[in-house]
Amino acid sequence: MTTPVAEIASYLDRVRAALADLPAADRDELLDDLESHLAEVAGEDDGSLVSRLGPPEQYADELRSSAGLPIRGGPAPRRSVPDRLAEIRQEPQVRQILEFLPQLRPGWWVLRGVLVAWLLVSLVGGLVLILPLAVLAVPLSVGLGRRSQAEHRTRRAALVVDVLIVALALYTLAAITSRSPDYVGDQPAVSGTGGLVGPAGPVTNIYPYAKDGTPLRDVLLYDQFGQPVVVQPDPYGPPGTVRQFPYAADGHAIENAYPQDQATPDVSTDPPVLRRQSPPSVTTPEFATATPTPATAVTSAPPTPIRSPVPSATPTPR
Amino acid sequence: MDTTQLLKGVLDLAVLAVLAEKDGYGYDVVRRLREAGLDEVGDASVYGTLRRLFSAGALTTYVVPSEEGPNRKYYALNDRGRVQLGRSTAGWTSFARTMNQLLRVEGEVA
Repeated sequence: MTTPVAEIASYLDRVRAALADLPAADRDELLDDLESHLAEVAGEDDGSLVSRLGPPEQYADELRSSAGLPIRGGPAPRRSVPDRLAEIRQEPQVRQILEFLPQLRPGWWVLRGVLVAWLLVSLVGGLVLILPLAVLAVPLSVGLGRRSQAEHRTRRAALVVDVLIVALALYTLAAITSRSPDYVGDQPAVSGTGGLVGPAGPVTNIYPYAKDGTPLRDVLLYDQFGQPVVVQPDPYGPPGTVRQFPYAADGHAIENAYPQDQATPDVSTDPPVLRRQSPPSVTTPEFATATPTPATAVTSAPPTPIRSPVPSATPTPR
Repeated sequence: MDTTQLLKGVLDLAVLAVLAEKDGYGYDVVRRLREAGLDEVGDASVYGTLRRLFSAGALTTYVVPSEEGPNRKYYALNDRGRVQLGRSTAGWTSFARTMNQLLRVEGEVA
């Protein structure tokens, strides 16, 4: 080597000095390769470093300016958001994440197809359609995704559409989970307080019979508090179930008259027709006619109902 | 004609093009640029440009150990860098075409 190591060291020191006003991280990055570079240049055997590269101060100026850093003595430019983003992008973990993300893109395309199918189903109804719709939508989404990768123009449009789809999906999800029990969503709504539950499920209608097995109509029921016994609409039933209450003379609906008049839409016809619910088939028990055993004395009489007078509920013996 | 001003504008593109051909370390990239005909390109400019492209996320680096002398830090294009190369090339081609047309018109005598 014709150029002594000292010349390299001296050049290096002067460059470092000219970069002294920079933050240590920036300066170290710039100096990182410099020493090996100087060694290679020195090995060219082409004259001194200064004649080959120019004065160290000039080298330092050119180095920092082409690296996008402020010039010596100049005011530090306000780090704009793009610059700061660039700095963050340099962090090793961030770089790892950023380099991995593109691999997820095809997964997003698939998910997007499924989301669109689900959105259509929740708008139009027919949960069973979600699978065939998804089978149609996913390849479409993947195809569009690959096209938007190739053509940069469609990329921005695709981003807008993606944001729209996600927003719609979130909104639909919120709407479903907050739906009132009267609507049927994908999950059956739990009925509110006071819902009667029988052994086979929630009670939505009551069919009273007389002792002799005659079905009764317009029977008014009250509980031990004197409150009318009301039933909730069927949370598992088809949407569009209609309940028809009888009306009192003062105009209010009588909700505790049983059996209640209920009808559900029959979707097998076009247009759907409301079909009145028919009573279930029951076999009323036959009452025993043996000597009545002395019953435990009833401590209180049936409570006085709040509304209109009730006809006697004691069946007359036949 | 003084090409240093012209070069400043397209040095990024030139460096990306060199790296697209093959990964390189700083000194190597300078040499290849000069061999391609850009003999006025400065070492410091190339190093600074490599740093800046790396900060912008267009390049990755890796170190190759060497038996004689210090380890070398190699620069390579990543996907983002390839995209940037593509875009810049398209921009350059279009610009060059425009300039060429302009110059032809200028040179034409009625």
